[in-house]
Amino acid sequence: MAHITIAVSEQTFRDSFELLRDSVRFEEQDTFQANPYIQVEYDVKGHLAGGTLNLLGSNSIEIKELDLRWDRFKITLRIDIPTQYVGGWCIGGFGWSFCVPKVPFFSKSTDVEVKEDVAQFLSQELSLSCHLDARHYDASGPAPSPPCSLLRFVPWPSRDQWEIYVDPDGQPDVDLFDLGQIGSDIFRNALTDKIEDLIPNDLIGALLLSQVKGLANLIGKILDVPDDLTEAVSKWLHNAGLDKRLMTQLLDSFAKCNPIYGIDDPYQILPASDGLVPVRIPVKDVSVTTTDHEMIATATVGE
Amino acid sequence: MTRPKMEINRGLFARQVYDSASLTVPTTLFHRLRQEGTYDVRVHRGEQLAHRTTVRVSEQGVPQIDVDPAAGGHKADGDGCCDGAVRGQELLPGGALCFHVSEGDGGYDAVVERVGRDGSVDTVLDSSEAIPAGGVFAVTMVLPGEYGVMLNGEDKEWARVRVGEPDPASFRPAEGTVLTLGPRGLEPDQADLGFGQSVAIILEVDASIQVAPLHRE
Repeated sequence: MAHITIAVSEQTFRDSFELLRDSVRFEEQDTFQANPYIQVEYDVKGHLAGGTLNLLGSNSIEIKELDLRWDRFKITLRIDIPTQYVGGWCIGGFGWSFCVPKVPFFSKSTDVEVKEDVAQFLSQELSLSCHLDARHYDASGPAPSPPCSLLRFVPWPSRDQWEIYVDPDGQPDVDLFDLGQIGSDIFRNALTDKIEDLIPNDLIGALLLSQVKGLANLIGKILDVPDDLTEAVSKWLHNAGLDKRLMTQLLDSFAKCNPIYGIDDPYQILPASDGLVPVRIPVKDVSVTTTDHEMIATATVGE
Repeated sequence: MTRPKMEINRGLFARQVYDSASLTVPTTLFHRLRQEGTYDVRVHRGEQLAHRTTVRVSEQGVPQIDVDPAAGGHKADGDGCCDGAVRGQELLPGGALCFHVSEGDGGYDAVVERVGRDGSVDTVLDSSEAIPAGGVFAVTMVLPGEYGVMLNGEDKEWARVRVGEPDPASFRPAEGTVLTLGPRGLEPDQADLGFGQSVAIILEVDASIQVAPLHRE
C-alpha cells in the first residue's frame, strides 16, 4: 500500500478560491403577506467579491472582508386599499342616542404597487473561519438533490472523485440586508407618490391635494403601514427568514456543493497507448489539512 | 396607460358650505318624533320629490330610522352606518328620523307631516325653512380649516369650528363635538375637530344653520 501527498501553495490555493468565490451566486424570489393590506414580493440575487484568504495551521483557513454584492434586490409592495369611512359618531348623553351615519370617504380601488430595487444601497462584508473537508463522490449514486442540485456550478464528475471542500465553521454574524442604512424612507416616499397618484386629476382631486396635506399619510395609517416603511420591509424580510435562507445558500455553496479541488478515483497514472488501456489506481482515505503556507492532501493509493 | 383612480366620494367635497336647508353628504339632520301616529316623510331636491316613505311612531318601533334619498329609500343594513343602529318603518316615540345623503351633490330638504285619522295634515318639519327645537344638525368635516356657524341665513358668526389636518396619530372619525343652540346662541362657541370628525348642533330653539369656511371659497 502506497501513500501519496499533494501540496498546494497558499497563493495557488488563493487563486483557486477566487475562482470558486467568483462563481458563487445566491438568489431567491417569493411572496408573502406582511399584514392584511400589504403583500411583499422579493426577487434578490447576490454574489461575492474581494476578501483576503490566509491559510492557518491545523486545517484552519481565515477569510476576511469578503464583499457581499447585490445584483438585484427588488422589493414590490402590493397594497390593497379598502373602502374607508368618515362619520359614524354616536351622539348620546342627553336621554337619547343617535348615530351619524358613516360615509364612504373613498371606495376600494385597485391595488397600489410600490417597486424598488435597493441593490445599489446595500453592501456588506463577511468574514469566515473555515476548515477543509475531503469527501468521496460516488458517480453511480442517486442523482443529486437540493440544495446542491441547484447550487452546484462545478460540473458533476462522470467518475467517482474525492472532493475537497472549504467548509465554514458556523454561521457568520452579519446583517445581510440592513435597509435602514439606505437613509431615507424610499418605500414610504414611493407609497406617498402612488397614493397621491390615485387621486383624480380634477377639481375635487386638486382640492384634496391642496387642502388635505396629510392625506397620503393618513391613508397609509389606515392601511397599517408602519411609520418607517423601509425599516419595516427589512424586518418583514428577516421575519420571513430570507436572510437565513440566503446565508445557508451561500455557505452550502462552499461547504456542500462546490469543491475547491477534485481527485479522480481511480486516478489515472498512465494514459491509454499502443492499444493498452489506461492505468488507474484506486485512491482511498484522503485527508486534508493546512499549514500556514500550504494545503496538504494525503491519500492511500493502490490495492 | 392611465392608471385607475381612487373612487373618492365626491359628495363629501362638492360643497363647502353646509346648510340645514340643503342637505348634502357631510350633513345629517335628526328630527325626533315624540307623538305616536303616522307620518308622511318626503325628501325633495328643488321642486322634485326624491324620496317618500311612511313612518309609524309606536312602542314597537326602533330608536332611529335612516332616510337616505341618494340610496333610493331606507338603507339596508350593512356597510356605511353606525354600529348598533337599527332601521325600520316603525319608530319609537322620541326616536329620530335621520336624514342623510350617502353620495352625490345633495341639495335636499326634508318635510315630515303627521297625518291624522281624519286625514288632517300637520307639518312637523320643513327643513327648507328651519329645524324645529329638539332637532340635531350634524356636519362631518373633511376639509381642514376654520369655519363659522351662522344662523337663519344671517352673516353673524355664532361659533367657530376648526378642522385639523389629517393626523394618523389621532384619526378617530367616529368622534365629534356637541354645540347647543339656545336662546342666547351657541354654547360652547367653538369646536376643534379632527379630520373626518363631526360637529353636532342640538337645537333648543327653531333655526336654520349654516356652516361655512371663513377664509376660502
